[in-house]
Amino acid sequence: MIERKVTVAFPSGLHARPATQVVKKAGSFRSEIKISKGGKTVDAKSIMGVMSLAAGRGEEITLTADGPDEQEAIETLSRLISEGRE
Amino acid sequence: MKKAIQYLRQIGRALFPPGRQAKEETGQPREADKETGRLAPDLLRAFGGAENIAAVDACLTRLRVTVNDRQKVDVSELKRLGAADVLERENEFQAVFGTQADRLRDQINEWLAQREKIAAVGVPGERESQVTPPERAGDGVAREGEDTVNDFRQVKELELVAPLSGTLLPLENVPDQVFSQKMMGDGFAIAPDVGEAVSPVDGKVKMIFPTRHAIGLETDGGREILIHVGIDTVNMEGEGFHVHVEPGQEVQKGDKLLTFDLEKIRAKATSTITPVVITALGERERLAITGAGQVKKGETPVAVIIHNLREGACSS
Repeated sequence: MIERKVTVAFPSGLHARPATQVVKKAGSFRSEIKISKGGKTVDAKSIMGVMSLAAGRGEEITLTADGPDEQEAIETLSRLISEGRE
Repeated sequence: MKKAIQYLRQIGRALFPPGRQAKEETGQPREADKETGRLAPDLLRAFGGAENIAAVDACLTRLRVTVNDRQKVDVSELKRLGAADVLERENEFQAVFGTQADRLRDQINEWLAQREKIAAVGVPGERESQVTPPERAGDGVAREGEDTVNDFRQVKELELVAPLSGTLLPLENVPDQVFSQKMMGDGFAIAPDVGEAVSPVDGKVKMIFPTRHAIGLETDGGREILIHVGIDTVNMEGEGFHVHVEPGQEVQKGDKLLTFDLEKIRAKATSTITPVVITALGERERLAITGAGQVKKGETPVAVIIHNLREGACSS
């Protein structure tokens, strides 16, 4: 399992569209992927879960991935979230 | 004798319809027609006539008809007759008719049985009373395995009522690709007349977005429903939005969730059209839209989550 802290760069935080982007990307990996913020941990493959973090722009979240493609998953997702392109 | 001739005519009309004439009589599908069995002859025709039908069954909300020649089936006519959707798999067609599916199956089978009866014994004459008229078919008649099917239905199906008052629209009409392309999941949309959203199901509040324009619900069965008021409303940063529930709070169908200022949304966002999305449908589940046109919040049924049963589970 690997873990990485990432700062959210999406202008409106992880709302509907960015959350969908993250979930779609997470869903392309076989690893179990979680996102945590402020003591709350959600499944990165659940739209409602990711949105429920209500992570705003500039806030730090923690990504964890556990599985055969964990390294690639962490790299891809942290890039997506830290670049924040909708 | 007069009665017998009338009876024969009635059956004749069903089995050998005079072209499209019946279309003018029926016009738009009416709930009453589903109730009385008047739809059965029209359905038979849409499935290519009695000759084309190999088997008729119903499973939950779907009328399942196996045909001999799929080319003879008129899918658009089935939809006109009230099917929310029609699925095809080889020679089997599944027409989504909501809770009427069982009754329609019985009515169609009744028509087919009458046809066979005539073929076997000739004119039914005064024996008419032996044949259950389509009007009464399926009402209160216990069938083998019915209890099981009903139990299953209660667990596996979920009906959503309109969370807003306004005009029901297909999700494809939402002016935002993340919704219209169903990237978040299947659903529907409502162009609201009133700035209030209520719960479409019994469940609990799973998530309220900080800008109060989106709320997520989790049903008792674990389905997740997102109500996203307006398009690009995230940029309003909560102005004009009020939340009436808290995360984790239990809600019932019709309970007030959010109120919002429609005028402000019109002025500051892209659209007031509100997508309602099932964000986590299971692999064997799908959504059927059962409503149309004007809907009333907390009252009008608009959609049903259907669980595909494993093969043969409904064949009894």
